[in-house]
Amino acid sequence: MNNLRKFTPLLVLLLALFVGTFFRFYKLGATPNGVHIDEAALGYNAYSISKTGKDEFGKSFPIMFRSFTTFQSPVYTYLLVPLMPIFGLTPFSVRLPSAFFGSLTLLVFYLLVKKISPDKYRTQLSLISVVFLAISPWHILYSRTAYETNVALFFLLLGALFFFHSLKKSWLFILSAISFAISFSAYRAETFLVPLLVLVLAIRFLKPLSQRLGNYAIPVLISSIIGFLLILPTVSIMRTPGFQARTSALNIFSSTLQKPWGYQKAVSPIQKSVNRTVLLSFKEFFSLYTSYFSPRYIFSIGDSGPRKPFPDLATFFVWQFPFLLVGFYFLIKEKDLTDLKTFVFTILLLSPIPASLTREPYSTIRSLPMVVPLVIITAFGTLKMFEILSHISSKTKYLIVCLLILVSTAKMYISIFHFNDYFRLVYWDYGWQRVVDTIPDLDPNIPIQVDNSRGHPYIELLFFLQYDPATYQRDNFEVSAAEYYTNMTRNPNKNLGRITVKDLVWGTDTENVEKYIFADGLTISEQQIAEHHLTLIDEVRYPSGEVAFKIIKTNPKIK
Amino acid sequence: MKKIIFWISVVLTSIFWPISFILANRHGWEPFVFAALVLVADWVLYLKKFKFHQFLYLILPIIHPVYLFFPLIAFVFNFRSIHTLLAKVSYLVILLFVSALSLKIFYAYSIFTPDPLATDTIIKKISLIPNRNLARLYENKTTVFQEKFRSNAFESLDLNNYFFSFHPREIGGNQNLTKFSYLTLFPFLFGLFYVFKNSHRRWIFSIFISSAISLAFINNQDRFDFILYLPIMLLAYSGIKKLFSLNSSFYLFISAIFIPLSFVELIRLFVFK
Repeated sequence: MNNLRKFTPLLVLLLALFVGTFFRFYKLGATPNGVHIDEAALGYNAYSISKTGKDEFGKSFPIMFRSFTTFQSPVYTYLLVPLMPIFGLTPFSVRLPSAFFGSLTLLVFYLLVKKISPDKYRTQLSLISVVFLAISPWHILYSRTAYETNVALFFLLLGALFFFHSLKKSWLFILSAISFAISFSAYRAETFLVPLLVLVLAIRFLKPLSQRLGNYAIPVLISSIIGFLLILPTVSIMRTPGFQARTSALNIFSSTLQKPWGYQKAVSPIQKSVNRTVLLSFKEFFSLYTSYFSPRYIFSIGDSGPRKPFPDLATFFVWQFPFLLVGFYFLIKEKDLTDLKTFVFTILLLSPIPASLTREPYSTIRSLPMVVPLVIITAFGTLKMFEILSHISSKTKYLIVCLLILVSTAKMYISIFHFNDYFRLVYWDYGWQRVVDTIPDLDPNIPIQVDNSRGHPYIELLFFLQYDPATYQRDNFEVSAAEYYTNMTRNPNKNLGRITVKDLVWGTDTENVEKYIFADGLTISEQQIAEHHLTLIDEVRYPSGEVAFKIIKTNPKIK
Repeated sequence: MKKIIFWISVVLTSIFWPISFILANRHGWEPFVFAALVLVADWVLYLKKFKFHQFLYLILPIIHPVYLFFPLIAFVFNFRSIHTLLAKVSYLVILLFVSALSLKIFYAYSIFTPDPLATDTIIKKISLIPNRNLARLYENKTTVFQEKFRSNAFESLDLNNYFFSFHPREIGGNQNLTKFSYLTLFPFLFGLFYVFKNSHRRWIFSIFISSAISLAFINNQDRFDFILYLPIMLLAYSGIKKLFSLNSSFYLFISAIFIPLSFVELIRLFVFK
């Protein structure tokens, strides 16, 4: 019995890691079924780098990847490069770093919470926290799909873990600096978050560190130099239009593209005086910021984007709501939680800021670090709730929580592995693998045109065809290497051998030349097929039966 | 000076929702305002320590059947404060009578009205789950109501609903009224944090939760949610009081930021009707 009690924490930790890893790795390449264009771009650029040392635009080892002029952060792509020769360019390999670092995050998170918690809460809080993160729909979503944000979060937590340990072992400062620097370069939100977190930690621990300056001077100096050198490439392009392109397009304070929320046509002087863009932008920012604390979003709606929440799941489970409230209250109220409070409230209050600067409310991708403090607060609330309900036996309380976890986990399993691939496929760019599979069956002497009017189909074709990067770079010029970060001009037409990717022009493209046309279900109707004497070769359908893609052949001779 | 600023802050906080409500609803505002006034009357009687002030809640379903669940939930909360057994029984008998009168109309407004689209989705979901028992557990006849109830309940609990008329650019099936100046969020949060020191916390919570739960049973809370005005306003008021009792930086915040910006927001109500 004593042995069992002794090993219970280890068993709980192992179970949490097992369940967490299962939800992150199971059917990784198959669910979500489809590869989103961002995933395809990450994967193909890594493939291109591994084959040629250049990205799809012919730029050698870029600092950020131009992609669709959205400029993707480089860390994820470079992590993919060594995987390409081993696993090839597949949905599984593209999502592998995310799943790997997502699972590893659980362990780092456990160690971090254990490190920063006061003794009386240490074991229980770290265990409950890791269990909650292991089954967090929010964290699982980004661990099952290729997004840079998940890797950035891992390095952020690793940096924090090394930092807190470095307060006793000074040389760990160097590892902390390296981790923070990688996180800084891994995702845009972290580019903002990491310096502020480091600043807060530096201010908070300035006194104890300065008291032992002899021990810390050299490690801190080396860490600063290494950290600076690692972030230098990113910093060097921060002023380029490329780096700023995405930020400017989404920034609520930039009113050139869209006026702030609440802006109205003002005629009279009094209307003009209360219609100031700055004031309204501030209000919009404030509103967006508070949306990250909205129980409606956290427990009911989830992300506003169509791909982001799994069906019927928000970012947290409904039953965690009272725990979150209780946790908040006691975390503010209790006085002996210094390190825990510093870390939790710094991440909690800072991480929604970059996300709030964009127009989308509750963007879970940009505010992913927030999952960490919210999980800790919920876990802390659970512990405090146990204290409040002291008249109920511990066994009963744990049994209830275990039951809630079990029911929620089963619901999550259904949502991820049964519902998501039915209700969300349209947003996951489903069907390109099937489209590519039909190409060998087509007449090789007839050219193929892929309609470009929606999305970026060329990247899906490159991905699933595993198209030779050297040939693609040679046949498709967009900008010179010198203008890679500065010239935002795009080349919408792409040539992939006999495949041309461009907008479909009715008449010119459908009646003059014999060719195959690939287009999505909305582009070509049955009526148009009849009117333009086209032949329907094949259709790719979603599981719901709706048409995802049509493959047709033109018949200029009939005309 | 401090006293004047305090009262200006209180007035700016308290007049916002009523003004925006009346401006947006020149006609047909009566049941919603009367319902809110019933709670104001209850608050006055409660402060006067009138024993049976809870009986006023029974008027609400008569004003509008949508409030049918309010007296029932409030009864649960006030079970101990309705002192005698006779009073309790009388309350329930009247409630039963009122319910019989209101039930039909309440049903028409409620989440229990048939929703064929949602039912079709549930049937589809059931077919996607390979295990029949698991499917029955998670997707059954109650799922539609559960989801609607959950969604409505969180709507009432969403602070952005009150301080930002939901979220930027989000237009639901409601008037998107500006209910409070957005900076009122600060005093409100103060009031909420110190609610355990508030001597009227029991009344405030019982009204807030009774309102929120009863509204969660109807399909569209728009305008009916005006009954939440009083508990939220009282929390914001207690927050302002607390702010003024703390150090001078909070007092400066009120003077320099809260009042001017709230005033701008108030003017916007009138000039951009």
